[in-house]
Amino acid sequence: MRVNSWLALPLLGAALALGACSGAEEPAATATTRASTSTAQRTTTVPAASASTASTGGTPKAAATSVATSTAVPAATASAVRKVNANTATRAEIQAALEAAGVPNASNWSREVVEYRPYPADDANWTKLRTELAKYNPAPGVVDQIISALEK
Amino acid sequence: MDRVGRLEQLSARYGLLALGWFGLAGTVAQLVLDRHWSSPTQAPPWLALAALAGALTVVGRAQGSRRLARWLAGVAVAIALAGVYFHIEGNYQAGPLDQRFSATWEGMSVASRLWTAASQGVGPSPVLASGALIMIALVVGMESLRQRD
Repeated sequence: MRVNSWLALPLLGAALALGACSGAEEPAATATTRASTSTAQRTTTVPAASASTASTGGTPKAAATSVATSTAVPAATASAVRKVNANTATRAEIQAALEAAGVPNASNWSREVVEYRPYPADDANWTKLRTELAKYNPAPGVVDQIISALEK
Repeated sequence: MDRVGRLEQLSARYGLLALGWFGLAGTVAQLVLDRHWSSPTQAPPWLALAALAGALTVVGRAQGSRRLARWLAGVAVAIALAGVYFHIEGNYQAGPLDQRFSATWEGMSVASRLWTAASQGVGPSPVLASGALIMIALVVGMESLRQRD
């Protein structure tokens, strides 16, 4: 029992580290994934013994399960914000990324993203794309949503 | 031919050519101001302007080929008409992207959507802008006809 608790400690540490990483990479995460991540971080900040006791009645196996769950959350977050290269991705890939980011009319917007290539690597604020897309009078926040799914 | 007649002939010749070159310069300036080079689909008007510059040069020479000038002007007219079409089509496709129409575009009739796109009620493209190319091409055509007289 005591040995199992010691095994759980490094796992909890790893979960804490992954939770911190996911927070740093999160800018385009949805509200759902954000809530899940904060739950995971809450779980990992509890001392190991009480975490296993509170959530599972104190069995080491259950504690390990809790850790595994909290480490899986950052992976889900990473897939939710999967970015595609605006300069090299196909239109279908861009459309899929925009749909994943919740952009309305992703098909039409992906055509515009492809049309105005290339996007300079030193244009950190996506000025070129923002300028071109603004001509279409999009709803507030749509351009930011589009850019959240793109990288260079 | 008397002096007045020769003067009229020269002013007609150089007046038409000046009008053509002035229109060409103005169209180039407008395209530069619009940064009309953001994508490959924005290249055709530059080709049309190059064709018109060639046509004006050829038709301006005393021994220039009127037929070549007309062909080049014809290419420019074709590009201009395609430009009108693609500008309307681009505006039409932009309908659902515009926050004013995103909720209603699908429910509008085709005629209503076409009118909205053609009248630039939606979309970023100036529908008749490429008509400037047609005007310059007409100048080339008139000059080539005048030379035949």
